[in-house]
Amino acid sequence: MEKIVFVEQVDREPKNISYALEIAKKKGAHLSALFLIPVVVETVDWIETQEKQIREKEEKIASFAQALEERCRKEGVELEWKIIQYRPRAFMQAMKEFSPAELIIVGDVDLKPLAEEDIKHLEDISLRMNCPVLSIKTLMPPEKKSKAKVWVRMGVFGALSALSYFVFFPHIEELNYKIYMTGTLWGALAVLFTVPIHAYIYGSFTECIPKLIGLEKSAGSDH
Amino acid sequence: MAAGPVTGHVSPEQLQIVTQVLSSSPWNYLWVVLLGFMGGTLSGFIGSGGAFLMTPGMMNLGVPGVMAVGANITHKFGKAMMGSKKHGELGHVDKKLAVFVLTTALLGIKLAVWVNGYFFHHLGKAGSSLYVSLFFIITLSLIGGSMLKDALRTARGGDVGPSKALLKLSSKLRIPPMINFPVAGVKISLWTILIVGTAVGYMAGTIGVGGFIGVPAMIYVFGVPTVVAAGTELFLAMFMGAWGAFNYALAGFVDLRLTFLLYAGSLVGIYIGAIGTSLVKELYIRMVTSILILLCCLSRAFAVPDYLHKLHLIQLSDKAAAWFEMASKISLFASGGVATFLIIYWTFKGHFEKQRLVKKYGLVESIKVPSGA
Repeated sequence: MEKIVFVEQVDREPKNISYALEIAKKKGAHLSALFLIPVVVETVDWIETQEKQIREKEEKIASFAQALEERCRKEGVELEWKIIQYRPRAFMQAMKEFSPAELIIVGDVDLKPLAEEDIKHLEDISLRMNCPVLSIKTLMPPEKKSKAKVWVRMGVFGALSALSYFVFFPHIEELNYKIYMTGTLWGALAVLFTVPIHAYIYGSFTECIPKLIGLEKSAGSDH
Repeated sequence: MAAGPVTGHVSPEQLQIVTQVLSSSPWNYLWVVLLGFMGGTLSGFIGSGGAFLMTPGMMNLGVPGVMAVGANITHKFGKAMMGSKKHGELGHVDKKLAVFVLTTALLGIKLAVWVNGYFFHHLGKAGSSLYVSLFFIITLSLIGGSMLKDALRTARGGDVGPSKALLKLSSKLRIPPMINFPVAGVKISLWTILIVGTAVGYMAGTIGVGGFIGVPAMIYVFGVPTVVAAGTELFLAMFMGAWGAFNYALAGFVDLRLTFLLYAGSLVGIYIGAIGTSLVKELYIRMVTSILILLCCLSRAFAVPDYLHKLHLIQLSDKAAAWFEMASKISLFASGGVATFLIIYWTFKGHFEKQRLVKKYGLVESIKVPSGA
């Protein structure tokens, strides 16, 4: 039987576990769920308050997980779960306990705390666990509405970019003599004003390209 | 050549340089766009840099060093603003540390602009380019060599990360006043910050590199955690870029045509490079970076004899000068081209592998998410 590991950072309730469950059900796979409770390590103040908050979260997530177990039993999916405080060592230990797996699915997880373990991207987790890792967003069905929005955005900013390059750009030499390269305060400010506007317009156009060809989705967007 | 005060006076020569470069061959428009694309892809891939390719690349096309740096630093300013828009929140930023480093770095940048401009006004295009090239050679050989050593050590299964010698030295320099930075969790001597911040700013202002120097400086000299260093550097990049762009523009060394042409390529490449980091193994990233940096360093070394010849410091035959110029161009464009090709190849390879998994495991239709479990 295939094994799928699902990992998500949880504040109140795991948002994406239902999708992972659906994928496990579709493949007839065993699902191992790892729930991460965020821990603030940078300050030493309010330790007792934070400990109390962590305990309350653990209880809430455990109660959710028990209800999830029941649902999995009804849907014919084998489930095991674990709740840990999100610290790099604890994370790596838990992942090793769930290994080996055919696939690791990552829900909402901030990877910054794992920088200590030299993990910055999902691909780094894949290397350490010797298993493919995908963001849940990559596995979700494509949203038709969002693609249409991307096309519209590309069209609008594409038109503005064309204006910038084919109408404004040929006049820059002339404007250099009049303002940009006069060595004056106004010239320097004009440069500072022009550059971010063009960068924003053209950058907004070009950022649509990886979205339309599905590159961003493969990478898991914000991971 | 014109001589005069560095700021507030712009010679006619400065205004005509880019026109001459672009009109000498229509292909030069494309070369600058290509430089931007390669630089943007690398910048997105390794998280910082691109300057070590774009600035020397423009110099290879005949743009004097000071204007190449000016164009790049202005280009970086706009790109940093897009970067922060793309990434949203800045993450872990030690604002107190940022203010201290920024204050000294701005001073370093101002000094760098003055020095760069001084070389241009007193020694002309060749002098300016020679100064910037020598700076590149020293910096890139140290950084590239260190990164390659580190990457090879990791490939052999050794420790990850460069030597902690600088950190040990810095921790011994407990000269008061010591400043506490609670977010970064470190206490640093004010004098260390003054020296390092000014040095980082000077390097940023001289050759246009930013996070490439700033992030390692914060990690390996100050002992700041990686995540705080990266977040703080992003915060700094916008201000340092703006200040650098402002000062170079004030001195009349920013021709927006170069900046716009760089953007035409870089704002396409940067997204591919950034996405590539999620799809490509870290070790490949480090190997590519270190080898490319060393080849860029070599490219600049090939360019130095021609500048020395133009300054009448050495004698070179026309054939030898042409050979050195070709060697410099080929080593830069070929290495940048190969590195960019590899990044794009690995990115799309990773993308197609992910797509295969998505076909196998992906959900075809939306599901109804029940409340609770």
